[in-house]
Amino acid sequence: MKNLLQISVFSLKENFKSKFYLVLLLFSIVLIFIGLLLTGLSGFEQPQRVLVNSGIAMIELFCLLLVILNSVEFFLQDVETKSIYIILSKPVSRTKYILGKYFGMLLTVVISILIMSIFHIVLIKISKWYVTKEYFLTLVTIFLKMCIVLSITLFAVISMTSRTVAVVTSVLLWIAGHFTSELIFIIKKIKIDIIKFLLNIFYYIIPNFQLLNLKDFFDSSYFVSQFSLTKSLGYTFVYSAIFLLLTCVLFKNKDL
Amino acid sequence: MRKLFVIIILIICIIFLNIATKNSVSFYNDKYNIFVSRLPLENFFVFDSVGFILGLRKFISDIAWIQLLQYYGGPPPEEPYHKEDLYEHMTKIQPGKYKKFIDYCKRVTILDPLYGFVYFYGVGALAWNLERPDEALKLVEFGLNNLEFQKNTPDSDYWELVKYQQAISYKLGGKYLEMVDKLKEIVDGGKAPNMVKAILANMYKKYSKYNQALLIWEELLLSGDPEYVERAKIQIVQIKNLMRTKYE
Repeated sequence: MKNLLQISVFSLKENFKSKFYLVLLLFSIVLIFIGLLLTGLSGFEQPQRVLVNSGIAMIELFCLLLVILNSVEFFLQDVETKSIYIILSKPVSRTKYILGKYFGMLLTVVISILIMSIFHIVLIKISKWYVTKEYFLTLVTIFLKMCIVLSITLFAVISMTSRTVAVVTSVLLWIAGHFTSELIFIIKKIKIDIIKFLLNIFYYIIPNFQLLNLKDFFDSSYFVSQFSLTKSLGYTFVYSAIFLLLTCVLFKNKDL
Repeated sequence: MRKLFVIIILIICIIFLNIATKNSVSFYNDKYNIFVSRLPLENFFVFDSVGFILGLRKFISDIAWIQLLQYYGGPPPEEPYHKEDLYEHMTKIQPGKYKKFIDYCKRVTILDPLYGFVYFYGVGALAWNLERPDEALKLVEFGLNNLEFQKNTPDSDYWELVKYQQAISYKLGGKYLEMVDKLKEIVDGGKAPNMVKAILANMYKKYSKYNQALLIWEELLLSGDPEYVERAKIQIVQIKNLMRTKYE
């Protein structure tokens, strides 16, 4: 447990020291600020909506880039600089190494969401608007999405050991996960049975990000009432756990 | 072999997990599928699709809303290319102008079907500013279909749209006084865009109901909406003059 915590904290520090992380964070804050400028273009009657939606979208995009690019980069950097041998030669199991990296990155995501949302809320308050409790629930769902994306990215980088392939796979799964209802429409239209079968399997393997996509309907009390946080937490936990297990199984037998 | 077995078991777990959750009731049923509604306006198709697949549907709908305002706020861009286009949408006020307005509205509401304000704004502009009530009714139907889940909520956007539908029906049937009453009901509901309020004020003025018209313009003046403040000032002066003439 102590080792796990140490690796997590090390991973967190590694992220904060990274120039890439700082540039990304600064860029996202600038983009959130641009949302304020967009409100000027959105007419007199709908400015709050634009500011809130653009901010939430930027927070999610930043977290996505952070999770995918940083986790791929740091893992491969550990392998390329051979620092992974130093960590693994100590009494640290490979499973703990993976879990440590995972939780370290999640801590970074939590802190980043906090920084960006504070900035966003300040902008909203300066504009004399208000923040609802659904806004905070939306931030939680963004975090849950990142838990899943991170587990997939770690699996991709360990199984493929290539930056480009791992990043592309993660991004494609992110896209597919938001495209599930359209995918089922495409499957219904396809007439070739084998393609239909394969797409059906793909449909049931890819993550269901729509289940966690509260940001698309957080202003509708009807849909918010249908949203179940327990179900979303359960889904995220089980899906991430399965991918983490797969990653650990692969990593245990991997020649570094 | 053991490793392979574990991997297969885990993949089966994922499939079962997704089967259990993917068929649940959610916002993303077939009705809101972008392939079913078919995104209009080819120029923006790639932009909309990229936003959509990245999970930024609501944010992209806001950009689409800004583009709608820019389209409607600017000079009418379309020039008639064919002779028959000259007669298309031939109306009293703005013949054939902003022909793609309904597509712009549909684009925003396909991306965010819950964006009630766009239905009100679009229907108001189509029915009374652009004098194309047929298109306005199409947009109403589109909105009613998207907002059907609100049917059991009395003060919802769904029932607000029904009021617009009734007002347009009165207009088409030539029952202008009933139409004005319905528009008043819409404005009193509190969800009407300022544009609809201005339309009602103009109708009151037309039917010599100066007091009611004055009240609405004063409200628009106080709202601070830059689009209506100057107009409100002019209208208030005009209406006060008309009132003076009427009572002298």
